[in-house]
Parts: sequence; C-alpha cells; structure tokens
Amino acid sequence: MMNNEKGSVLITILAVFLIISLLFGSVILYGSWHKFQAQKGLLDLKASYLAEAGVNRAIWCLSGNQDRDIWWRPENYHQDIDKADSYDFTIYNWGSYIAIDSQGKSGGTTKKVKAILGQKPDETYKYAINLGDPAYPLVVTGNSRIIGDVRVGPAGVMPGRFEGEEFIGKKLVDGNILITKDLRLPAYSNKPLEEFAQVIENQKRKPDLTIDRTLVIDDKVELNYFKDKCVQVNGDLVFGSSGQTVFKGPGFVWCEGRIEITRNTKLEGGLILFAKKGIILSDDCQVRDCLLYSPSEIVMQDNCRFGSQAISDIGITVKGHATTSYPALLLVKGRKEEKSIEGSISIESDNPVEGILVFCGEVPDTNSKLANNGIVHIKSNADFYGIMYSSGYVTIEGEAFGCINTHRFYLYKSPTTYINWLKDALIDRSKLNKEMILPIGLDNSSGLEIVKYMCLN
Amino acid sequence: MAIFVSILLPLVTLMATVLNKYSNSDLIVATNLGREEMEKTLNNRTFVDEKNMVKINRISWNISKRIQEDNGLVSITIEVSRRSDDKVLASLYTEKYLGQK
Repeated sequence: MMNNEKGSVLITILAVFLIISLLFGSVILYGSWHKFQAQKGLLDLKASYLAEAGVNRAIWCLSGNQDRDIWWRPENYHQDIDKADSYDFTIYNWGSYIAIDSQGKSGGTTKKVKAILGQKPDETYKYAINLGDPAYPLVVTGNSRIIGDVRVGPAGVMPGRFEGEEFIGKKLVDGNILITKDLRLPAYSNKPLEEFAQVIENQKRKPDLTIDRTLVIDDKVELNYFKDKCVQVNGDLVFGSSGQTVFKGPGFVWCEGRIEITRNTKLEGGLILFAKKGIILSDDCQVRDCLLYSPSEIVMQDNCRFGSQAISDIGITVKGHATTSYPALLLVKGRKEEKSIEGSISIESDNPVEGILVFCGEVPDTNSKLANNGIVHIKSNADFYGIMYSSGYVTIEGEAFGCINTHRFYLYKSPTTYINWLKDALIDRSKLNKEMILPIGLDNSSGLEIVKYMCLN
Repeated sequence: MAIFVSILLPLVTLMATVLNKYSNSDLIVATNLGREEMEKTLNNRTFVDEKNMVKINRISWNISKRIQEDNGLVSITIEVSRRSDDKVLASLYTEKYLGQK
C-alpha cells in the first residue's frame, strides 16, 4: 500500500515538471514567434521602401541624370545602402511603355515591385484637334460639334455642304482656332517597339516549357501555369475555363497559332501573350495589366473588358459591347505594302472605348478610297474617351471626348473621298478630365510618369 | 493544482508580458513610428532634416529624419530610437524623384 502511494507521488511530481516544462517552452516559443513577427514586419517595410527607392532612382536616371537618357536599359543595376540593405533594378521595354522591375533587400527579405512608365502629355495634347497636314482646311458639316481649341493649317476651318445639306450646327468650333504654317504632328519613333520585339525574340529562345499542340486551359489547369515562366505553344492557345478563373503573371507565352481568351477568364499581373496568328477576346473575359502582341489582328468582342496594352501590326477591332478602360493602349504599327499600308483601328457601334489609340504607320498621301487602311475609325454610336494619335487618317462618326491628333480626317461617300471633313461628329476636349500617360516614342517634351505600380510579392 | 493555478500561471503570464514588453512591442512601436514619419514626409513633401520627440505610454521616442538631395533625387533616412538608451530600433531608407528642375 505504502509502495503504491510513493509511486503516485513520483508520477504527480513528474506530471507537474512536465506541465512546467511545457509552459516554459510555450512562453519561449510565444516570445520568439512574436519577436520573429515584429522583426519580419520591420524587414518587410524596409524592403518595400528600398524597392520603391529603386524605381525612383531608375526614373531619375532615365530623366537624363548620371549621363543616362530615356533609352538606358540596364540588365541589373545594384545599389548598396548599408551592409544588410540594398536594391536592384532592371529596365526594359514593356510594349510601348518602359517597365522597371525593382527589388529591395533587407536582411534576407526581398520585396519586388514593377512600375510601368510613360510620358506626360505636353501642351500639344490640350487641343481638341491637332491636324498634321496644312494643305487642307478642316471642313465641318452636318450636325458636327467641336468643343475645345483646334490647331489647323493656313486654310483654317470652314463649313461644308455635303450632298446638298449645309452645316446645321451653331458654331464651327466652340473654342479658339490656332492657324499655323508650322503644322506638324509629334513625330513617332518605332524604337521602343523594335526593342520590345527583340525582348520577345530573346524570351522565345529560352522556354521553360514547350507544348507541341493546341493547349486548352480548362478547369483542370493550375492557376500558376504561366507564373514566372516562359511557355511556348506550337499550336493555338484557348483560355476556356468555366468558372471565373484568374491567371496571374508575370509570365510570358509565345504562341505559334492563335490565342483565344473566353468564358469569364481573367488575366492580370503582367502576363505577356504573343500570338503569331491573332488574338481574340470574348465572352466576358477581363484582361488588365497585361500585354497582348500579335503581327495579325486583335479582336475584342462579346462584353470583354480590357485594361492593358494591345499591339498589332495590322489591326485592332472593338465590337460586340466590348469595353476598354485606361490604362488601355490600343496600338497598330501598320504593315508596309508596295504602295500603301495595311492596318487600322476600328471601334464599332455601341462600344465605349477609354484609353489611348495609336496608329503609327507611315501612310502615303492619297485622295482615293483607302479600303479601310491607315485609319482610326470611330463608328456611329461608338464613344471614345481619351487621346488619339494617327499618323494616317481618322474617321469620326460617333462621339470622341478628348484629344484627336491626326495627319488628316477622312470621310468617304461613294464615289467621293473627302479629306479633312467631319460630318455629324462630336469632338469634346472639355470632357477629358482624367490625366492619361502617353506611350514612349511620341515626340514629347514632358517628363516620365508612372502609369501603373504593381507589388509582385 | 492549487499551486499551479495560484503561483505558476501568474508567473508564466508575467514572464510572457515582460519578455514581450521589452523586446517585441518596442520594435513594433518603432516600426510604426518610422512608417508614419516616412509616409508623412512623402505625402507632404517635407524634405528637410528634422528631429522630433514623441511620447507613447509614458515612453519617449526620438525620430530623426535626414535628407540628401542630388538634382531632384531625394534620399530619406528615418531612424527611431528610445530616448532612454538612444539605440536605433528601426531605420528606414527610401528615395524619391521630384521631377526635372
């Protein structure tokens, strides 16, 4: 009996020691974990500010300091702040903008950010209309309304009689008319796009994954399929999952065929999609902060929503209630034919388009029918809100709220071509209140500005 | 059990509080003060050297801001220390480009 009681005392003492040890252990763990959290919080914050410092130093250098200029593209610029803190950045062409990938490092913690840069619009973009060709007057007819200042050649602005109908508006221009002999559009340099094409070629040379067939992205494919990878698809690529699937970048896809983005798919976070045979966006898909590039046509349709860059050699069409929103940039380079140029941007009826439209091909002057080439066309009942630049022609049948920069306006009614005629068009500069940042390459005296800032981790 | 509840548990809680008080919470307060000062500087563009003292829960803190400028690029260093020992607990650094001059 006595022995049994002694045994129970021993067990009790051992149990008490065990509990005490567990409690002390917990206290130490709790304290260490809290200390770790507190230190991690500080290191995360330090690394974030260092990454931000990298972006600012990069912009400073690109603005002409330290003997650098806007074309400076370092693969890795390193700056030590002290023993444990530093930042690195890379600058490269991001379509028609400049991208800075900056990472701040503090005591083993790394924070990555990506900044997309463009140029602030200068005084040129304060006008409702900037014409590039001084040879023709600006002729206003039908129920056209121009609200804002216009800059035209010595031939000025005049009312026109179109198929027997006079101009029925109240004023030719509700604003000032600046007549100048030195009429010219800002020059456009293809250098950023050429350098970007080289970036794409370099990426293609080192794919992480090659798929020799058509790839259908359905519900079974993991969401990080493209993240931080270079994927080459030697067939078509179809995004067609049934749910609201979000694919995030950064990542790069080179597709030998066509890319279709459909069925509620969302793409974001810096994905670059290149497709040789064209890109179609449809069925309520959403694309933002990405870059689509094709030598063939890009079509946006069926309620898709687009807030990224789309670059095509020959054409971009927005139809079927598709919408774009800033910082959307739709850019067509134009493909040179023997005596003409292939390429156009077409905004079909009932489509609201917000952002920047650029057609930058070299269009030969002509007085004959253009067969829809070399034109930015805003069709009737279509709305445009933003800045437009065309080195060729612009046709406006709908409403344009913003700034139109074009070599010439173009109107065709069989069998006659009307150069610099505007019929039943509304151009209103006063409604564009949002500041939009232009792509690099347009001759622009203003400084660099951040279009988009993304934290990548 | 009575010993455990009446002595050990309060002892352990006291130890945890003491440990926390003199290590982690100081770091958290210093980090937050540094972040606040940095954001205030960036938002209000107050790019001048400054030294401030603030009191939180009866503890005095020194916040020092050093600014260097090179043709529009401003370097900002914020250091936060306890007034009693002057040891820097949080040091933050960033750069801000102010645009062409």
